Amino acid sequence: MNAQVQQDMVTIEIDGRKVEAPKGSMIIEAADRIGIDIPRFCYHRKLSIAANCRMCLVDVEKAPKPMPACATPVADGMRVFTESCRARDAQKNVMEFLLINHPLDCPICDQGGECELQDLAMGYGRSVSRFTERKRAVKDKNLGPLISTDMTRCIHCTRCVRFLDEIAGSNELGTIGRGEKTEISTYIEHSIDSELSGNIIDLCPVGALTNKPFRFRARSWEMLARPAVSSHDCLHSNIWYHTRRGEVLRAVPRDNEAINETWLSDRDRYSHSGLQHANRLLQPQLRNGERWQQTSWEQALEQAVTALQQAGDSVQMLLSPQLVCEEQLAFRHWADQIGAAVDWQVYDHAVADGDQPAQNWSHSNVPLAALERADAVLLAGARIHHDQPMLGHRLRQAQRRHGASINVLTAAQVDWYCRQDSTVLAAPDQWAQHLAGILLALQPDYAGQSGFKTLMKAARRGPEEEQIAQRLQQAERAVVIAGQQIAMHPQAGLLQYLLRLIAEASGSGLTVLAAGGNAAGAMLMHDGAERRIDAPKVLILHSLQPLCDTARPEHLHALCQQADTVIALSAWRDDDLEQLADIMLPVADNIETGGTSVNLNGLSQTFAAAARAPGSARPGWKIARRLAESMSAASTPADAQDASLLQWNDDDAVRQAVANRLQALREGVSDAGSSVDLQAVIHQLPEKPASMTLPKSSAAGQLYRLGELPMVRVDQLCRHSAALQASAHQVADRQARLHPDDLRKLKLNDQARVLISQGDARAEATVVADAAVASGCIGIALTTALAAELGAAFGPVSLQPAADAQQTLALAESDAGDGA
Amino acid sequence: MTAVTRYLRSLMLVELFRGLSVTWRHMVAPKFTLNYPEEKTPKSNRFRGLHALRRYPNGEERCIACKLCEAVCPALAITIDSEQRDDGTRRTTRYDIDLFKCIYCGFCEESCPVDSIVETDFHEYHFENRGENIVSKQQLLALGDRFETSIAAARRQDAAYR
Amino acid sequence: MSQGSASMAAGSAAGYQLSDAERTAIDHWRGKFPDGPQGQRSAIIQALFTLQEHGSGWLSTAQMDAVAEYLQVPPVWVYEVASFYSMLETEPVGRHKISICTNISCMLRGAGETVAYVEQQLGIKLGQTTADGRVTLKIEEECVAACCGAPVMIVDGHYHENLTPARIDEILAGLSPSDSAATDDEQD
Repeated sequence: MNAQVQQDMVTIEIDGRKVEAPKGSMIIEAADRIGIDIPRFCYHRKLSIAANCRMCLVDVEKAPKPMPACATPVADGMRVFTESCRARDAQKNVMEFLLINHPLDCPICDQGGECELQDLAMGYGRSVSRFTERKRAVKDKNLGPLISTDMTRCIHCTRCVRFLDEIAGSNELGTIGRGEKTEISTYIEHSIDSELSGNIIDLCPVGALTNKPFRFRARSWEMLARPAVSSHDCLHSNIWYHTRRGEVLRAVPRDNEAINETWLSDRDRYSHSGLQHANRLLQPQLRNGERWQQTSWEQALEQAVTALQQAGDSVQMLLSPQLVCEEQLAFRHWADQIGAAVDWQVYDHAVADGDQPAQNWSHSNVPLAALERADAVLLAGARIHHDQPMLGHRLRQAQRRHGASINVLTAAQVDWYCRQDSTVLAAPDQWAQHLAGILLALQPDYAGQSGFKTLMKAARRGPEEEQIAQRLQQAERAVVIAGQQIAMHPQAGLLQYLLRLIAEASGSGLTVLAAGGNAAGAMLMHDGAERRIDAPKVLILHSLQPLCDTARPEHLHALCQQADTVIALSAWRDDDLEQLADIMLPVADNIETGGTSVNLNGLSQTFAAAARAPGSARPGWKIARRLAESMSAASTPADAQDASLLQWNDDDAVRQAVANRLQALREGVSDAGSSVDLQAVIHQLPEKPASMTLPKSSAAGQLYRLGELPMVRVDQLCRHSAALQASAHQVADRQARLHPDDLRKLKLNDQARVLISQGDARAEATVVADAAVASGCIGIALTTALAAELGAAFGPVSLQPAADAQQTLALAESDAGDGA
Repeated sequence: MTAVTRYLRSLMLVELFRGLSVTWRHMVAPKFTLNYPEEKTPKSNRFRGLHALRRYPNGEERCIACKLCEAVCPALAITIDSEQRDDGTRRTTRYDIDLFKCIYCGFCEESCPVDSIVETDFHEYHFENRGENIVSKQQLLALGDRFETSIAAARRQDAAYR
Repeated sequence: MSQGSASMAAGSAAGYQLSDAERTAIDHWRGKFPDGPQGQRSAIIQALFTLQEHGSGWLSTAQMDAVAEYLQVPPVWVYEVASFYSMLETEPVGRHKISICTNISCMLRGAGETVAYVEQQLGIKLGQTTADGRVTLKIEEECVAACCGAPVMIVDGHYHENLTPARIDEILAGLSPSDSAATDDEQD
């Protein structure tokens, strides 16, 4: 082994320093490793080599001319000089050429102060230009609401082009034209809609591509970089929030090879602008009939305490699974003190039925970085690039680099940015049958096993299923991914169980994804707590919109209406809260409180508050502590657990409490010590689900609803980010997607107005023909006004042309009129 | 002898008159004291007084919100907020100078790439209320409009040395 | 398909259907390159050239999108190629294309005057097309590797060397005036 390594390494000398480098690697990589700085623009360690800026020219002994360090492979005994006269001359000349067409508008350029060209021009540029001719000017491109362009500044390094080709996979930009007329462009003007598009801003070494919402708002030198962790998905990408006077102005990625490498999804990058939304809740509000009245904290808390004391233990707390562990633990303690129920599994479809134990937290026994080396993947119910963009990127790399086969079970096709080797397009009520088919192809024994008989009889074992099974079995590093839609499915327990069996039978890794950024952390904080869902007298909502952040809006709506008092802790004044709540208390967002979160690999990360909460908003744990204090003073003396809550006097105490809890959990598993060992705790798989029956299929003439959680509407913060809402990922409201065949069967035209009935709920919408949707399925985006009026995210619905419906309605109205 | 001379000198009040001669001489000598504020001393064209923001002849404000003055200010007296104006240009929405903090070093003026922030030769100002020490963008632009002639003249004089 | 391919959908809304002859020609070239995306990419030039030859002498966005769809490559790869090569046209052009070399050898031998003369004769400037759609004068033609015969111009792919005003008159006069004649001429 060692000899092998020796053979593959060569020794070169850079500026007199000996360095070992792997054969085939480039001079610049070796130089970077020993800290010798070679100027560069087009080279980026995560992108392919283009060698088109020529800035990294270095002097190589015996070479007839300077060589580009980024594209010259190392050879044994090579001697490189980066500071020699020839190298410096070459670099200075290249710089002079680059500056010929670069405008001198640094004072108004957003990149000014953090510009690679500006920095290197200080070292390699002349103080006065010799170029007296006219500079070229290039028309700016409109690349959408996220990226702002000043194409005259472009130096054609093509990092953006290569990024969208190699990493994002959307291939939206190209080098159009030739010579002096070269432009980076989409050719036909359209916005860049990749969900990783914001990264081209970071990659651009000059100010050609800049952050549009941030445009002209601040300079790099006046901001403080505060490390934080994103909570919009279960990966927890590392972020630097750039703040000025306590206000977050922009977000840039913080390198973490294990999670987000050096990238950031647009959702993580642009969501922070929601913090400055005009609808921020700044003061406590009390309901006064139909109107809302601003009040003091004292009065608001007094009202809350009165309501809580009257309710006794008929109190239900609903927490967003996105909240950091500190918030989860505080409410857990408080609930234990007053005997209240706490639930955070708001995306659990079975929240009311309680019949299918599902995992509503994300976990994976495959490290994120290892997903990139997978060679066969089964994606079930996962719109991976929408739900967990960085995970989608890893899978794309697995295919690009290792030729992984990507196999998909989905109810609606999306752009996967990679080759799909097998696709099973089926309505969600058919998923169990198809998964059973795959399982049967892997393990024919299941056909006769008790408990599986009904299911296996209904199994669909087509050629696609056979192929998927075969690929998973043959692959060395196969991964089965149970997506977010599986976790929201009414039969989530069964589907997840089948996927686990498939993973076990094929020796694959298993990744279970769920909505709610810190769902794994929430699970750990609430571990062992009993879920109790009944109609409470007091309902406490923490960072939740009752009609948006749930898989069952109608159920939560009913709970809110039945409750005597609804206390909403929210950072924003939202319509549904104003409509359903009785007391609104302003809380700080995750970014403003900081905290600990646990990702799907069990990695716990703690970060400090990055921004200042506006108005009189407070962290949720402080509110919980204050309420607990008021109530314990009035009621029984506190037991050990509430005492701990009452001792939470500052951030440190809270963090310590969470750290202790996590430590205690770690000690419960065998290989304690490392930071990723929570995996074993998170990975608590439920035993066989209670029922192995098939889900209720849609009856004749009915369609099965697919509840898609739109990428830019996953939580309150995203929904208030103007930039994200303006992006191409925003979904149209009051729209339902159907397969054209289904439309024909229902005798509906494209764009027809229909009345959708789901259970007792009815809502009007426009139908859109979309061949990407499986037939028998109707795609309705969650979190929209339409979804708020309907029932559960998944389930049978029926359609009726709106005209007929209106007639019926008109008749009913005229009847009512006659009656009056 | 000495005693007699001393006696005579003291009788004739010689020393008194000698001393008074200085007084009388200065009574008729030309005077340098100015009757401020009726009379004023001449000022250098590099005099650094109250700040102003200048405009171009077409009325457009010069400031492009590059924030170099804010960055260079050793007393942290300048606060700028900026954003994109409707016509797409980079402009300040707030340009505050705290005159209590300002040490009139002139670095802001030196750093300005568009000759927007300048220190005029105007130094006769006072505040009556707390808070007036912070000069806003509107006030600075008004000052610029008011003193444009003298500002421009001073810059012209100094142009050869800048 | 969504997002990334939105442009594709928008482009092909105009809808260009490849003819059988065009498909055959593209397939012929496609077969000459290795399998995989890079092989498909390699076939773009010839595919575009085929379409330009078969069609109206220039490539519309719809045609480029059709090529991208047929070769299964991102449309932007096709746009890059089409906008790079001067022999591929992305704007409507006249029936005859005249390119006058203005590179160094020709320049020294009076390419400037040649351009001026042709412009005067045709009544158009470089980069423009005559009102009757007969002739397009191409802009910025680089060295065409015929320096020994400078100044040089290329008319519809044919080299004309050692140009003089008289020779230019002769060549321009030889260009077919009407549509039908032009087609005949091209077939010859």
